[in-house]
Amino acid sequence: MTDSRCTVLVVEDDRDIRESLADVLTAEGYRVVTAENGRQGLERLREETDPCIILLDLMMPVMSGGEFLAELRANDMLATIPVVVVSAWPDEAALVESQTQGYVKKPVSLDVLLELVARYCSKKGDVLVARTRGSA
Amino acid sequence: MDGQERAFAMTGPPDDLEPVDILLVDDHPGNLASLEAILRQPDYNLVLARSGPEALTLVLRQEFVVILLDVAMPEMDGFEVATIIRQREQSRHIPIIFVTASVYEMEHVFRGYTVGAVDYLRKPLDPHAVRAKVAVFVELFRQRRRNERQAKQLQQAEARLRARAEEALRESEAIYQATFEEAPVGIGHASPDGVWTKVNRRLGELLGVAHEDLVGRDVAAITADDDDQGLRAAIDALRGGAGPSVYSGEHRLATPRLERWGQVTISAMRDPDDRVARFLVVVADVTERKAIETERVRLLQELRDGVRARDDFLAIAAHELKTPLTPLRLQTAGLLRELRRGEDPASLLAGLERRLEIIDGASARLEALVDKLLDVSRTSVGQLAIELEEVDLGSLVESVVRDMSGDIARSGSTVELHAESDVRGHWDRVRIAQVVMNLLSNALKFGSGRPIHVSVSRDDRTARLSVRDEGIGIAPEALARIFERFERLGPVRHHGGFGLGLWIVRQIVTAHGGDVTVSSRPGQGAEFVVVLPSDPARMRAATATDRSRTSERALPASAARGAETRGADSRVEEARGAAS
Repeated sequence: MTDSRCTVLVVEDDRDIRESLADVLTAEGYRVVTAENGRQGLERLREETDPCIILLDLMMPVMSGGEFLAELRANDMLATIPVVVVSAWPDEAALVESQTQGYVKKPVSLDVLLELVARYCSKKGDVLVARTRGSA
Repeated sequence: MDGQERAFAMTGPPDDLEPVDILLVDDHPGNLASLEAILRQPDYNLVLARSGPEALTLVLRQEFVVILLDVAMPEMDGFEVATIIRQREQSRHIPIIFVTASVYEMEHVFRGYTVGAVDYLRKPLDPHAVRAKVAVFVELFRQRRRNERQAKQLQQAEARLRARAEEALRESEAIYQATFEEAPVGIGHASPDGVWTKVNRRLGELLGVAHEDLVGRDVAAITADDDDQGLRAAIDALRGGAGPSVYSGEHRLATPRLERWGQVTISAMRDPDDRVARFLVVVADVTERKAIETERVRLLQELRDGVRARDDFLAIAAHELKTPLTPLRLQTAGLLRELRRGEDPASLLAGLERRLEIIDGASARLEALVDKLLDVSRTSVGQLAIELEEVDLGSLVESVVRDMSGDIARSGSTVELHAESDVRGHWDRVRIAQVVMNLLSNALKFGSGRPIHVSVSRDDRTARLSVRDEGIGIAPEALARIFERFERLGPVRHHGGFGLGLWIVRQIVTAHGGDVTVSSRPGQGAEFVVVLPSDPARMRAATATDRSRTSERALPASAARGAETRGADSRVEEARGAAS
């Protein structure tokens, strides 16, 4: 049976934050794919993932969130994927505001996070709560 | 009347009535006697001559006020005598009154006498006329005497005044000279074209040259090369006379060695035609004030930098605290949500241990960060308290490396430890362990996964710890600031941390009387070297100079300055190393 659940790509270098995001989203019925930096994030997209939404940290080694965004938006296949920035630096988030669909401030409020993710993900697993898909 | 007489007596000089000499010449003793009788009075000294030659002899001997000369005399008559008297230089001015019986003869003769006062009396003599005529000449003589005396007195008074004026001038000159030479400021005169004509010793001292050598040189050249245009322009403006007639400004003086500042005041002194005759230049040494000013500006800047650094630090600290806070909140909120939703207990339990471990780890990270903050605040308040005990540095480093094996494994680097045995000293065990940990965290973070070399060795009275990585290295401009507090270097922000690790290292090492230095080149790794005196209690007294010297060897001057007073911090930040 094909997994019809909505996929969330989490790109975050801090292991604890990355795993915690995955835990809470999985518990909500989303399929979660993780990457430790922008470079890995692009690899995941090439390999398999067709995410409904990408949660993106900005300051990461190897490839930063900003660089990741630039490559993403330059790629016709990937350009339309919604991106929500998860960062402790509002100033940095503001710099990429025009290329993203939302911003969640660290430390993350679970309610805010889930509501934003739900806005872009209509299909979930067994605990599905129907939401209208917002426009990108 | 009484008053008038008294007034006369007071004003008339007493020597006015001194006897005057009057010469009476006649060959007849009877005539002489009658003349003598007519003229006798206390203030007349009558001298009698019985012939022309006798009269001439007397005239040579003394000065007469008037001569009464009988014309008709045997051997040599009155005219002949008068002619000779007139020919003699010293006697030609003596008035002569001829005594004669023949008026016609007199009228005729008078034409021949053109010099001196000449008059005549007719025989038989009228006593009133005789006295009156003689009195006229006596009075003339006395008047002349008075005039001469007054002139002489005037001359003397003038001479006295002149002497006094000259004395005053000499004194004033001496005062001026002393003022000029002994003044605590440099003073000089310059020609209208701005060349020294006279300078005092102090000016020479200020400029570090013999003051005699200044004369003939350009005034504007007393300022340092990059500043002389200002002074030259000022002198030109003064000479032009358009602006004010005094210039005053601070200039760096052209001194050979020490930097010296002078308050230079130039006044234009003008001649009656309003042209500049000379310049008066005064140079006061304001070096000290300038230094205080500069120091004040520097301190102010330092304070401002300190405040800004603290603001930056607080912003970074707040962010760093949010990093472990994020998994903490996500996990607790998530677990609560799942619990309340009535999740199947079995599925809840499945991941619970791992998730609790994340919560625990995040709490530990938070605690470590808070500890670090407290440490910084304690350290910056004052001197770090250190507790000395005997420590084997090699074993200590070994145990720190062991404790950090998890971080080392995650970094991908290996740590190669070369420790001489028995490198012992009296140090604060906990603090020195912190130094090792911070340096190692730093190396792990910037080591690019390549090997890290740690060595412990011993010198005569010092122990040496070196931590060397082969990573990204440090840019030269960053190297100078690396021990500054809260210093974080550009593109490494994603490595996180407070930027305090190396500052704490410096504080601890300094408190031990030791020194920490860094050498690096971008792309070729970095080496941090800590040198600790084996017995800080004994060494600490002698540290100050040693420390700054050691610092200067390895660091640029600016960093060396930091070493003396401020300690510092990091190319980096090891908070993350401690946390992850």
